[in-house]
Parts: sequence; C-alpha cells; structure tokens
Amino acid sequence: MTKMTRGSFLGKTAAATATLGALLAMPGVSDAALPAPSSFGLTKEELAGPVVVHVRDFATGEMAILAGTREIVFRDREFVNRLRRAVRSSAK
Amino acid sequence: MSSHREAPEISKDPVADSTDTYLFVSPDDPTTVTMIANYIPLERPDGGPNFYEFGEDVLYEIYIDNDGDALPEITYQFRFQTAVRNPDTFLYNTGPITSLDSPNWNRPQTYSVTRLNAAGAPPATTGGLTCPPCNIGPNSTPKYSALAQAAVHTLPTGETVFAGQRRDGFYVDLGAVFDLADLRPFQQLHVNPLSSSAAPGVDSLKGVNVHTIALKVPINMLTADGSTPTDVTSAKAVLGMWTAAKRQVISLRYQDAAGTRNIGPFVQVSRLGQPLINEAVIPMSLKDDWNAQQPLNDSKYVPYYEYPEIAKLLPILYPGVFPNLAQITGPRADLDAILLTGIPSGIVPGFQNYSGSVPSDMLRLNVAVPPSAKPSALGILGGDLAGYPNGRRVQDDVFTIELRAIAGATYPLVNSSYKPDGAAALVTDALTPDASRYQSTFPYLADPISGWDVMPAAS
Repeated sequence: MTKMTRGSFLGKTAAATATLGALLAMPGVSDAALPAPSSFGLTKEELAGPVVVHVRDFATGEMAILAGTREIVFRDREFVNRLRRAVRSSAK
Repeated sequence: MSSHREAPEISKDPVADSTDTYLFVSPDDPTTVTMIANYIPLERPDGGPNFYEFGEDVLYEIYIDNDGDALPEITYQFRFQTAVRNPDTFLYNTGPITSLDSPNWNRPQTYSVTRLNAAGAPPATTGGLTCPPCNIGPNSTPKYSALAQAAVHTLPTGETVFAGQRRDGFYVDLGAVFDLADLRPFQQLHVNPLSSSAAPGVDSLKGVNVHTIALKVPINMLTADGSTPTDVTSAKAVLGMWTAAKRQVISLRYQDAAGTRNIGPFVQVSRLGQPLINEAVIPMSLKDDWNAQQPLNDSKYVPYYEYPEIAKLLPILYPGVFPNLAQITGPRADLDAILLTGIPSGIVPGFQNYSGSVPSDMLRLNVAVPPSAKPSALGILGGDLAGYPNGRRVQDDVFTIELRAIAGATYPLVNSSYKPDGAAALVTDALTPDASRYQSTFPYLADPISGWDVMPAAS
C-alpha cells in the first residue's frame, strides 16, 4: 500500500472509483483487456460483495482490485490508456 | 488529553480513536500482566438514544514486542458484532436490563478475540463474547456492576478479557493546558496571569466514560522464552506494548438498505503507546502520519522527542521560572530513554526497562518489578518502580510526570552537571482523581457513570 492518510486515501479512491464506474457503464468501453476475475484468485465470498477497481497511476497503468479484505495490484497500460481516451472524449 | 482527539483525522472518527493505553503487572494477580486499550473519547454518560459502542468495521489490535526489535511477536485482535433485537423501537432498551441476554436490551454487542503469534503458532480465536450494555441509569441498568462482571470472560487459552464501557481513568486540566498552558496552580506566574493567586486544577475528564478493551494475560504467555522473569536486570523481563485501530481502505455508501460496505485490506488509522506523544510532542502536520506508522519507523520523529516544543514554550510562558531549562541546547537523551528506548541499567538504581536501541514509541514494562504496596501516582519520579514509565497503571499521573520530565527534572540522569529549575519538580495541574474512578480488580477501571448520574457542565 502506498502510505497516505485515511482521509486522503478515501478522497482519492472515491474519485477514481466513481470515474471508473461511470466509464464501465459507457457504450464502447470494454473490459476485455482485464484478466478474468478468476485469474486473480478471488473467492466466491469476495465476488459476492462489491469489487472495486482502483486506478492507482494512469501513467504506469497500475491498478488495484479490492475485494473482501484484499487488494491485488496489477498493471494494464492498454486498458488504462483506453480509460484515459474515454475520459477525454467524455469531457468534450 | 492523553490521546483523545489528538490528531485531525482521527478526531473525526471516535470509535477508532485510541484514548489511552495501559500496561502493568496485575496488582491482585502478579503472575499476570494487564493491558488496556481505551477508545471513544469524552463519552457523555447520557448520550442516547444511540449509546456508545465499538465499531463493527474497526479492527482493534494490541501488540506485544518481547525481544526489543520494535515489531510485534504477539498480537491480539478484537472484532465486534452488533445485533438489533427489536427492530420496531427507537429505544436502546425497552425495560430494565438485568442480564446480558435480556430481551429488553435492544442493541447488544458481541466480539471475538484472536491471538496471533509471529513464531508460527496457529491463530487462536474465541468468538461470541458478550459486552455489557452502556450504563443508562437505575431504571434501565439497575445492577450495573453485576452486568459488567458477567462480561468478564476467561478464554480457553488462559487469558481474561473484558470489552465495554468504563470510567475514563485519565485526568488532566484540559482548559488550562490548551489555554496557553496556563496551569491554574501556577497561573499567577504565567506570562498573562488571569489571576494573582493560585487555584486548584479542574479535572476535565471527571464526568466522562470511554470504551475499554482489557486483557489479563499470564506473563509466561508473553515473554520470549515462556518464563515468568524475576530478575529485574534481565532483558527477558521487558515487554513492549502498543495498540492500533484499523479500517478497510474503501467505504462505499449506498443510498438504500445496503448502507455502507467496506472493502479492501485494513490500514492503520490510530495507534497509541506512550501517553501524550501524538498529542503534545508530534507537530500538527505529522499527527495523521504518526497514527499510520509502526513503532519500527519512529526514528524520523526522534527530533521532536529530543527537542520538545513544550520545553521551548515553558520559559516563555512562565518568565523567569525555568531559566536553566532555557539554557539546554542539546538533545534530550533523558526523554529518549524514557519514551523511545526504555531506561537502561545504571540510570535508576534497581531498575531498567531498556528494550534495545531501536527508537520506538511503546509502553515498556519490566515484569520482574512486583506491584507496589503503596503506589505513587508519580511512578518512578515518586520512587515507585512499579509505575510509569515502567508500563503505565490506570491511576498514574502521566501528565505531571511527563511535564516534569520535559521541564528538566530528569535531565540530570544523563547530564550530572545540570541543575533542574526548582519549578521542574513542582509543575503540575494538581489533580487527584477520586478513588471511585478505579477498582482493585480486573478490569481496574471502574463502572461507567450512568446517564442518570451525568455530571452537569460547569456553569
């Protein structure tokens, strides 16, 4: 975990989560580049609850999947780039 | 306060806010050590209808370092669950609560305790442990002491545990401290005297409760080699202890019955070892960071211990009273020893609680020092080796002890040529809490003040 205060973490996470949630709901933004959830080894209980994807760093494509009490960090620059493009196009 | 509302972020999160931590050889059971972690600052006893309770979404932890590496070898975790017995009433209780399974108690809490051992022993968890209700008043909780006693549990692994509301044992004159340290017994000497004569201190915490997690553990379950040390000089006799509260990194708030869902790993939002450190030693800009750190990483805070802001302020706020303190320019190695490493052998005759050279904020207890027959609230400063800073007992006057140490009273321990100012041995907020705040048996903090018996605010 990157060290930060709870307040700053919650603030930043809320913003990124909200943005990503909106993007995934948009036509044309596919989740095909993300590995299937089973490849992250999520349990049935973890998948039953909310699963949050947090873009930690747009520049490096670093993301985290948060489920249950776990955080799994991974990189997918292509997917993050598509999100970035979608953010730009939706801002027009 | 000791650590009540001591940092900006945690002051907004009372159920995770550590207020005090205690560690002492149990006076009535000296083969055991008692550890206490208090949360929820400044509980007004009449604060209903939603009376105070532990956070279901908070992971509470007590850590023990038994080899001086500033890392926990033993961890106790506490998780709480809350039930609603009657969904059709707004009331905390619908009649007298005469037992912990009373149907009249509408919002009972239970909890689990897990012991983790870094040496690799499998975790040991005991669940379904009951908390007592809050002390509402004679109509609602007519035999409160019996309810609280019923909530003292013995674990299969040998520990004794209690979690629930208690009197706050800490005492300090908050109004004086935060009004530019205008201590009432010395207010005539203050740079801006509000009176020409001394006045007694005001105990700001006299009428409030806290929520306590108390754990009594056989000493041989905590020491590195499983022994019960009797040699005060032995390094094996020293235990370090601190507490933390953690929350999951994300909370999702739904505008429907799903309410709030918490996701992700737990991160530390509060910690506490030595009293008053994050309160009055760590600067405002680092307080939230300090709460998120581990004792192992405390070296970056050492300058604030060695050059405490209070030591610079006292000569300014009390002109002419602390001339020798004003002349100290070097680092305060005495405060390093008291607060960050423990006191090595050879400093205080017959005593040491040195845990190694790693500067780390924790309480340090030499368990080979037996409980005192006549405890002094001034602990080691008062000639009582069983008191603070050898661990911390519930009645120890840690405010006065730390204030006098910072004022220079302990500097001669490391600099024999230094002569403390006369005021260093006298400065205090002059409070003596009444005995009703404590009890002689576990969990040592007394029953909470009831809502009916709430003390009115000073007019």
